[in-house]
Amino acid sequence: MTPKPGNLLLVEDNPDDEELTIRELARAKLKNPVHVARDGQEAIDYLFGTEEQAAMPAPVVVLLDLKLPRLDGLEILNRIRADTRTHRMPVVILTSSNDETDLVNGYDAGANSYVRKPIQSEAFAATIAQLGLYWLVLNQPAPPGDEDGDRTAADMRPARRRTAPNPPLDH
Amino acid sequence: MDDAAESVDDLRARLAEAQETLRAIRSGEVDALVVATSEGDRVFTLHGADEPYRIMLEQMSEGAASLSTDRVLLYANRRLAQMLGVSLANLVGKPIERFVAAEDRPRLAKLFISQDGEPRGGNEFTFLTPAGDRVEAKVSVTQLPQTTGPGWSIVATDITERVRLEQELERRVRERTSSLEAANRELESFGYSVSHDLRAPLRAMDGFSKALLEDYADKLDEEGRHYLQRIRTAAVRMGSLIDEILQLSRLSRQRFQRVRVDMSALATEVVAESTDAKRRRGAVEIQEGLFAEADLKLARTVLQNLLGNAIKFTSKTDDPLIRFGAVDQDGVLVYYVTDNGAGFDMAHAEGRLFRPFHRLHRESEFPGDGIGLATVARSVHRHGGEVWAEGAVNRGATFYFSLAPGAHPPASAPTGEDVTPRWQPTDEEQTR
Repeated sequence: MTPKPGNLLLVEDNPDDEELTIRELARAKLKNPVHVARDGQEAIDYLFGTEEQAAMPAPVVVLLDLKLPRLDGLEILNRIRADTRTHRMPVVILTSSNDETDLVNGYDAGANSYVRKPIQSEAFAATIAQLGLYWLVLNQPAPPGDEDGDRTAADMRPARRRTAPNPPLDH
Repeated sequence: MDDAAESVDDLRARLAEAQETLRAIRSGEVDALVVATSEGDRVFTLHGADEPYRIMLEQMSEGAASLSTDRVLLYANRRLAQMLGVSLANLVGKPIERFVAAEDRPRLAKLFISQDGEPRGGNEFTFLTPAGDRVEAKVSVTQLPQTTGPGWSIVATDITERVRLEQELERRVRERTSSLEAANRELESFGYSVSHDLRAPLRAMDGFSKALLEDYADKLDEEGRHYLQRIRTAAVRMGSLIDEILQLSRLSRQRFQRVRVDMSALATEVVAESTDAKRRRGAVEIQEGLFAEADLKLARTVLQNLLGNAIKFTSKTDDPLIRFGAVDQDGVLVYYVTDNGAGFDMAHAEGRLFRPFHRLHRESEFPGDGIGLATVARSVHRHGGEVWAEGAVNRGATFYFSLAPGAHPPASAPTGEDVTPRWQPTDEEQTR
């Protein structure tokens, strides 16, 4: 019996990109359930729960857009890395921007990967299929986080943290 | 004996005369001495000795004064009184500090202490006139020797006008800088939203067109599929236009570093890497041994665009020939890329050849987005260089550029001068 495929959390505010991404994941025959968070707060609520609702099962990968309503992508990433429940969770930044500042900030905040969404649809399809295949099938995620475990302080520190956050560009 | 007595009397008389002269000198009764010498009588002035200096002092355009040890004005020239806006009578007898702006007084005091070399804290001070005008002056202080009676002499040069001009200039520079910075920030955030917000709808256009083609292929006839393909091509082209604009705007912001660049080797490399290399049928001749002190990345960008253009615009030419070389123009090396391709009409090129989005050829004849030469112009200008072109329809084009200041484009040639980005080309301009 094969284990139930893990969730994919897609943090994406653009409905077109959401639909195209889900379509290409399906065409790549990936059966993992996709949960979509349409803004930053939704993503945080999904990962960490709210007063009314417990946290949802940890996704095997987060595909994270950077420019989002309410909380932006970088803030979500910082929250993920700062929390023992999620600090080893694979996070792939999937964005329109190839701005150097975004790249640097993304990696400094501990992104596992940074992928620019292509406009050309064949390239976009290939990108999504490869991302899905790699992160959902090939990649071995870390064992689930354990809040009460005897983890040392060093474990809890994200691999790389920004020391001095760059001011965000006005947009 | 008589002789001796006579001599003594004579000496006594001369001694008495000398004593009387000394007394007269001491008491100030004597203006000058007339002394008989072997070369005739000579006049030694006593009282009027400083008169020429006094006249000089009054003629000076600087203010001058002598001060007592406790810095009270003992003597001042008229110019100083005029500078400080008081009468001479009101100046003499007052401490100099009284005329200095309160904030400058401690600094002024230091001038009278340190006499070795440049005074600490500078020697420019603000004086205040009784009318409330601020007078900026450069002050130099000299300690007077004991022999003249201890004290100080000062010379003050009025620099009010210079200081005013400097402040005005500084103010203007600050204003310009801050408005430039604001424009830059605006441009940067514009570039950022261009990359983010304009790409997403394009991705949707292309993505959903592809979805239609894939999922509804059986319901579309050839014409329907053709239209969808046109939408897709347009979306992708706009995407690459956006990327080009962003690249152009980043050109002026990225770090600039001059290194020694082997331009001949770089040109060879660029030609080999050219995506149009397959289309290239003719020869590319590259002059050996050309070097430049240039930013490697920008130099590569220049050659990529100029050689890429040459390859593109000779794609329909029989026996295409492209040459890269350099000529010396009054000590400045001017590089050129010349081809025998489609060329351009000099009459159409003036003022637009190097502008973004201005094209001199139809998209269907030679594809392109009109960004390449604008990129070249910016890259060259960052080196302080010049870029210009010569061409004729169907007789090829030559692009000249320098990577150091001092080159002079001929008056008739279209240059990359004042390339200002114009984001919205008109239809008429785009079809040229």
